[in-house]
Amino acid sequence: MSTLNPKRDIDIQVPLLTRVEGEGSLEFTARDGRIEQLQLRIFEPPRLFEKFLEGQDYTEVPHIAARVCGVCPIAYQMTSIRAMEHIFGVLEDPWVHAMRRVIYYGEWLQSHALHINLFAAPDFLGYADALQMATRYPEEVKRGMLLQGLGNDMLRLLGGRSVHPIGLRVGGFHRAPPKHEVADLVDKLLAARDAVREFAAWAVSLPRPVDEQDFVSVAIRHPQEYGINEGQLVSDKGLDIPFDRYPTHFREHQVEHSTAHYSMMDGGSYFLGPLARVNLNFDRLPQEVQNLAHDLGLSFPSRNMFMNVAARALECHLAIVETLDILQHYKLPTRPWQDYTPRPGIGHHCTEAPRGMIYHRFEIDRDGRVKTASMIPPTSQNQARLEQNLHSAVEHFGLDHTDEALRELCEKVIRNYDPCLSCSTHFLKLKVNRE
Amino acid sequence: MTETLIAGIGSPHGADRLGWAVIEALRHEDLPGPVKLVACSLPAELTPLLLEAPRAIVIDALLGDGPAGTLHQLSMADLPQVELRLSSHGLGLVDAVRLACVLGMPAERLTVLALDVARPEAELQEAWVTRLCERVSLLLQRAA
Repeated sequence: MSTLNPKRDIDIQVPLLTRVEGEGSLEFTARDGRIEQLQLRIFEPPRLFEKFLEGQDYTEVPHIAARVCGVCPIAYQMTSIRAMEHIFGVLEDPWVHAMRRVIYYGEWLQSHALHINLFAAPDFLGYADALQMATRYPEEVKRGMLLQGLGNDMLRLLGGRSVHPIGLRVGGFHRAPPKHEVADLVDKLLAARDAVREFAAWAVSLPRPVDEQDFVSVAIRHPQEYGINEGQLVSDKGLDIPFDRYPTHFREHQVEHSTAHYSMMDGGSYFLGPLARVNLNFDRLPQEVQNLAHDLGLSFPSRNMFMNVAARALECHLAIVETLDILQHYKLPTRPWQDYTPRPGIGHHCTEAPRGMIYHRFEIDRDGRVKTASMIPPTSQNQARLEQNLHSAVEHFGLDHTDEALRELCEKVIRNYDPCLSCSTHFLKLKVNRE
Repeated sequence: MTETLIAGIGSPHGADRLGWAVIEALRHEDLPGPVKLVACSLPAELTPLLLEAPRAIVIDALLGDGPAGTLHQLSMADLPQVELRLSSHGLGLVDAVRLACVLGMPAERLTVLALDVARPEAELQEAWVTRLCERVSLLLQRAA
């Protein structure tokens, strides 16, 4: 119920946002019925990983890149590996391509299940935190944790371990899992098939707000499969480019209130992540996943930002359906990697991290060392859109609500992006004025 | 006889390896009673394990006030009741254990063995591993 004077002074400060990764705050002030300031301030220190990579041998890159993120190491490893494979002229063989999808699905499943289960659901159900929610929804929380654990099992199968995996290399994998390990995972996936459908149905049934927005979805699109590792960058406004043309359309710039760069596509904000992917690639989902979406009454493309949670849930189902399809036909390869000869050059690549598209550019010198590196994560690319989202969501909601209700709305909007603030502070240009 | 979950939390480097090193050492010991030995990378992995375990001992390295090597044997009641601050990277041991309790794990099921390594960059000491293995063995004997 709206009862307050919308022209009152509003000053809402959330010094440390919870249930997001990394450290950021919300600053929101309004006067005379107008929003003065509404910003997500990211104050994580810059990580400088791109500088650390300079001078390193190319074989070290996957191991260093994995350290950028504890939740999305595969995104950083895979994108850097593929960028370097472009330089070295490696054509991905079908076994490697399929296994890369499996390990990436593991990362999506553990990240998405965690987000829906412990971060987003308390928002939608009106609980202060996951502990409070778990007292009322213990079976749902246990089911979410089972799926999160299954995602970690998928990571371990090919990565050797779930945290900072070590199984990936330029050309493929260090090791092909033996058939008995694959069979064990297939058993677990089969056992989880009903659970993931129920999990998706529960996520879709959560009382999510309606927040219709005008935004540009950007994602990878592939001619045959759901875009993850390969394809073209596309948008719903006509963008359709190969990955190496990313720098001609996307530009980063600094803003005063954030250690993360803002990124613009052709001068405007854009949106990445599960909803953008499903909006652009619904027809590439396996029929079983499309059927589930229809059964749950979902329709894409959607302009409701809070459908992000439904898209995330569908991708959990996708992860299990497609991984099963791949692993039930698993054959041991002659060798789990391809040969290649390192050579100097510049390579670009994009993949779909759980939170959205990630872009890497690597320049390798004649000694096989990194000359320059650029890694642009999804959260920094989403930041401009997120702040526009905050403004329009608050304007639509109305300033005549209590400060508490406005704060809750803003936190929901931010968490809906599942932002990874640590990853987003990937590089800060430093300008020192000495007098 | 009731199986005891023994979970060591750790990572591949420095003194943080402690939980893993103890689990590895216990694999070569003749322990009193049935045990399930698990090396965990993330405390979040603990919650489902704790829910299934009739009894659990969790081993982790601790950054405390020192001196290095001080062993703390903690029950649920001893764990700090700090505000839960979940993050995708930051579900800590206390969060994981509290979540397990909310989901139905009886608090008396759990013992935490936390050894103060004083500095994150400290080298792992073999004596710490031995001490923890002895304490685990003692706890298992008492429970038998």
